[in-house]
Order: sequence, then C-alpha cells, then structure tokens
Amino acid sequence: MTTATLWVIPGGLAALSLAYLIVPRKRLGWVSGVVVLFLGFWLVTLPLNLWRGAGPLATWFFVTVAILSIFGVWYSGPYIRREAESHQWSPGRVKGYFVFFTLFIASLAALAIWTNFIFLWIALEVATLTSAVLTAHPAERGSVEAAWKYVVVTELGGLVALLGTILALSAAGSPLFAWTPGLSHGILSSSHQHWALIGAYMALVGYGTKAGLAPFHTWLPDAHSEAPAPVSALLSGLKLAGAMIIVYRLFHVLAASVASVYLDDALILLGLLSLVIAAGFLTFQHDLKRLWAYSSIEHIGLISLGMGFGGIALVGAFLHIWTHAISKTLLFHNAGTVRILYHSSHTDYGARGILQRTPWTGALLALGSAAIVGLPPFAPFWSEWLILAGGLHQVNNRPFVIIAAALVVIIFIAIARRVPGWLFTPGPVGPPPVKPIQEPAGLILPSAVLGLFVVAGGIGLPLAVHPLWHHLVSQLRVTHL
Amino acid sequence: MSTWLLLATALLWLTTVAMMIVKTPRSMTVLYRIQAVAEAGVVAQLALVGHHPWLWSVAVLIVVLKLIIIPAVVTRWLAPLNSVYGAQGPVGMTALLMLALVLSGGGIVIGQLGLPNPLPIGLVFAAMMVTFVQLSGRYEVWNLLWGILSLETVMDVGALTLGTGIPVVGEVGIGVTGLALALALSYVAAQVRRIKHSLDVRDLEELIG
Repeated sequence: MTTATLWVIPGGLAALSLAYLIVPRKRLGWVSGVVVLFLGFWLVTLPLNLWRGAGPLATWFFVTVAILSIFGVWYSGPYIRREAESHQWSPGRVKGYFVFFTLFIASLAALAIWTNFIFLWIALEVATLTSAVLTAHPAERGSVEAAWKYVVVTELGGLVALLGTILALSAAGSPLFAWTPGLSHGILSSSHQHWALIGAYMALVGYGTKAGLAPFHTWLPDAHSEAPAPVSALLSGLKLAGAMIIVYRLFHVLAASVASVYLDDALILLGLLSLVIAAGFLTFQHDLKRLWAYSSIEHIGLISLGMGFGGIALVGAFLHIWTHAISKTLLFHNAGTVRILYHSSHTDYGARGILQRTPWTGALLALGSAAIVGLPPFAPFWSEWLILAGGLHQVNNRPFVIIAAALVVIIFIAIARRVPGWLFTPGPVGPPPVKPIQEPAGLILPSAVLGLFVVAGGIGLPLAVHPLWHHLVSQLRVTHL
Repeated sequence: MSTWLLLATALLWLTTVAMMIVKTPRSMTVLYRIQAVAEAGVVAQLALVGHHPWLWSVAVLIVVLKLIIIPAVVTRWLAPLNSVYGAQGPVGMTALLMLALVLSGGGIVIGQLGLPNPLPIGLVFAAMMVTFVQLSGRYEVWNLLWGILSLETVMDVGALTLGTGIPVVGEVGIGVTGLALALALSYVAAQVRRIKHSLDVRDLEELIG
C-alpha cells in the first residue's frame, strides 16, 4: 500500500464516527469496540509488512497514535458514562462526544501517515477544531471559556502557519503538493533565501502555537485542564507532538536551501523558553490537570530542543514523543479518575489523601509522576538523557544543554514537591482515617494496563532496541567534555 | 501584474480595514461577503492568467461557501447577538485607523522585497496585519469570530497568490476547512453567549493569568 492510498485509515475512522449517530445509546460500546478493532488491525498488519508508512517517523508516530487512541476509546466508555450520569448529559450529547472523539483520532492518524504539507495542515486543523468542540463539550463556564481561548489563539496560529508554509516552500522552489517532498538543491538567490527563512519562522510560530511552545502556549493550560480527561490525554500526548513533527518535516525540506543553523537555533530558543515557563508555573499549581498541562509545555520544549540539537538528540526527541505520550496519557486518565471520585482535581477542594482513600488511583498517580519527571528506569529518563547527551555531543550546544538540564532539575523538584499534596495530605473532612472511596474497576483497569506499559517500556526499551542503543551509546562515548 | 488582481486585493484590504472599525455584527456579515467576492475575483484572475481551468471550480466553491453557507450558519447560530452590540472599543477608532494605515504601508513595502506580484501580495500582507490589529483591538465574541474568518480569507488569498502549484483538491480542502472553522467558532461563541449572557470576553476567568 502506498502513502497516497492510506486515506483508508482516517477515512475509515471518520466513517465509524458516524456510526455512533445511528446506534442506540446502550450500544455505543459496540461501535467503540469496532474502532478499537480497526486501529488494532492496522497495528497488527504493520509488522506483517502488509502496509508501511512514509518512512520510519510516520510509522513510529502512527504506532503511538494507534496504541494511545485505543486506550483513549477504552477509557472514554466508563469515564463518559459517569460524567453523563453526574451532569445529566442528554443521549445526543453523549453521542456527540464519541463522534467528535473518533474524528479527533482520525485527524491524528492522518497527521501520522500523511506527508503532504497541505494535507498535514488540514489534518492539524481538523484535530484543533474537533478537540476545541470536545473541550467545550461539558458546557460549563470553565470549559467553554477554555475552548473559546483555545480556538481563537490556535486558529490564529494555524492560519499564519498555512501562509508561512506556502511562502517558505514557494521561495525554496520545493513542490507544494508532493506526497514525498524532496530536498530542494538548487542555488537560491539571496531574496529567495530570506523569504524561505521568513516563511519558515512564520510556520514555526503557527505550528508552535498549535504545539503549545512558549511563548505561544497561553491556550494550553486552560484547554488541557478543562477538556474531558481522554481528550486532554490525546491533546497532550499526540496533537502537540503532531504539530512538532510538521515543523520537523518542513525544516528538513528547507534545510538544503536555508542555513539550517537559523532553523535549529529557533527550535532551541523556543524549547528553552518552554522549559522556563514550565519551571516557573509548575511550582504553584494546585490542580492536578493543570499541573500536567504545564508539564506538557516542558516536554514539548524538550522535543523542540532535541529537534534543534539534531543527531543523537533527534533520536531522543522522536523517542520522547512516545515516552511522553504514554506517561501523560496515564496521568491525564488518572486525573480524570481523581476528578470523578473526588468531584475535583484541586487540592484545595478535596482531592487529597488519594493514596490512602483510593489506593489504586494513588499508586497510578505515584507511578506516572515518577515516570514523567524522568526518574530511571522509566522510559522518559532514557529519552531525556538522549536529548541532553546528544546536545552535549556538539560543542556549540553545550551552554544550552546546561541551562536545559538545570531547568529540568527545577521542574523535577517542583513536581516532586507538588504531587505529595495530592497523595499524602489528609483529606478535608476531619481527622484521619478518612473514609475510603470505592474505585470502579472500569476506570482503573485501562489506567492499570497503561501503568504496565509505562513500567515495561522503561525497563524493556534498551533491551528491545539493543543494536540501536549500543550504537548510540558508542557514539556518545567518543564525546570529550 | 494584472489590474484585476490588484483591484481584487485592494478590495480585500479595504473590507479588512472596514471590518476593524464597524460596530455591528450585521455589517460584518456584509463585509465578509464582499471579502469573499474579492477572493473569488483573485481566483478567477489566476484561472484566466495562469490557464488553470480547475481554479474556476474553486471560485464557485468560494462563492457558495463564503457568500451563502458561512454567513447563514454564523447568523443563525448567533442570532441573539445581532441586535446586541457594544458601541465602545478599548481603543479609539482614530488611533486604530492610524495604526492600520502605518501597518498597511509596511505590508506594501514588504511586498516589494522580491515576491511575485509585489503590490497585490503587499496588500495581502497589509490586510493580514490590519486583521491582527482587529483581533487585539476589540473583544466582543462576534468581532473575534468575524476577525478569524476574515483572516482565513486573507491567508487563503495569500496562499493562492503565492502557491499557484496547489491543485484543486488542496484548495477544496482548505475551503472546507474554512467552513469547519466557521462552524466550530459559531458553536463555541454560542456557548459563550449562553453561559455569560454578554458579548465582552475580557472578563472570562480563563483568559486572566
């Protein structure tokens, strides 16, 4: 199967989204089952060489999208059922959630497998618009306000990205509508080089807004904290990374015509700025979902740094797309469970003493937190290490790596200080022991399986990709500090 | 450079400036439709001069979407807003116009720096910057909504003028995305109106800090 014929994946998911409108509410789970089987089919047939993506990056991101979307669909079932019960959602609203959620997944799958810049832009727009509608779906003041801010800010960015992409590609003489955009090796005039660079910067600002890179991140904490938990998970883990992958693809095409140092420096600058913003704001968060939202800014910053450093750090950045996505999906699902069980994810409004009152939820929060701050042996440790060590490999990047490492340590301390507030601080309803809360298996099971993935992924990663790992370590060994 | 292309982009710029200063949602709808005529004019001109007959179908699509469907959808969903609007902006209109003039001059100068069709593309850059001013100068829901839709038209014209290599399927995709944008904006704007009973979004809690 060629890349151009892989329309069937997003197209099939879009068609399945309409099935939610047809079936009665009690049978929505059947459609979700078909969506999971559909994604599973494309995952299973990938190693059988029945089809392939347009390169390793496309295949890698598709695997990430498919696996985490399966968890998203699985967790959405019990989560939305409880949300609908407690907020008296109409059957139409419940169906609407699943329609838009499946369309959101379809757009993410398209982001993974398409390589044409116009269609990548369209896929990202569909991802933005569907997730904005999903953010407003609870129809509460906070969620509607967050959705408004999200759609206005990111659409502004998206439109700038469109013009920037076309300007850059036109100036560089690269075909605008190629499915496999090649490098443009022709010698450009000074004027064309300038316009290609201006277009690239416009695209970076636009897609950076979509990715939540600082200083264009202002929509992100609100949208992530107010959207339904499965939507927050896919937004943070996949949509942000999808925008960064478009930037990487564009800069890769432009690298032959524009001095790549300008492009790399811009990525490093925005990456560092994102770490600064995350470090500054994580320290003061009292809402669990908002904490992980700012953490997403940090991790997108790290991915941007890895792409800017290049070389081994680039491998780390691509690996980090998966390690961040799986850890953050676990944490957002967990935060959704906390919000349902405690009616808030805010420490000041009762979400405290979680480990004692809801041991499974507390244990998964502790596990996910240990993973996301980059503690060994969890997978984010390996990817962050590759990004920073890969940066150190190049002499010019060392000052940036030192600053980034210091900021990562500050962020580690901030999260390590905040999380015990949810886990251990006694609840507000009087002296301990506080009455335990029953944890529904439907909410816990998807997160527990994700927790196993997080543990196995960290320990098994160097073993699973041993030849690549051996090569990377041997490359790093020749670094002279 | 074609005179018709210049006239179409000049009309686009003029309506963009007008959208910045008008105070009623009804006027926005009219101006948005005129903008769509300007965009269709640019597409028709590119179809004639560039001998791209498929661009005629894009022109028809723009007319259908932006002259009929999108204004109808937005007006229907935001019907309660049509008769309720604020007459005061945070910045004086004279100051806004002077700023728009300076930015427009800047846009036209940018167009002269080695791009094809310098004056028309300069007017597109000018319209883009004026829309940025509109988006930051006024805070009513309907104003931001039409501002984003106006920017979408401006960027679409920019993309068409610069990227003549985009085939019809890409242009149709961009056009349909514009419709989806209008639908999503209208839906969220209607929700804002429902929960706030007001048009001014400056006091939205999530927007502060």
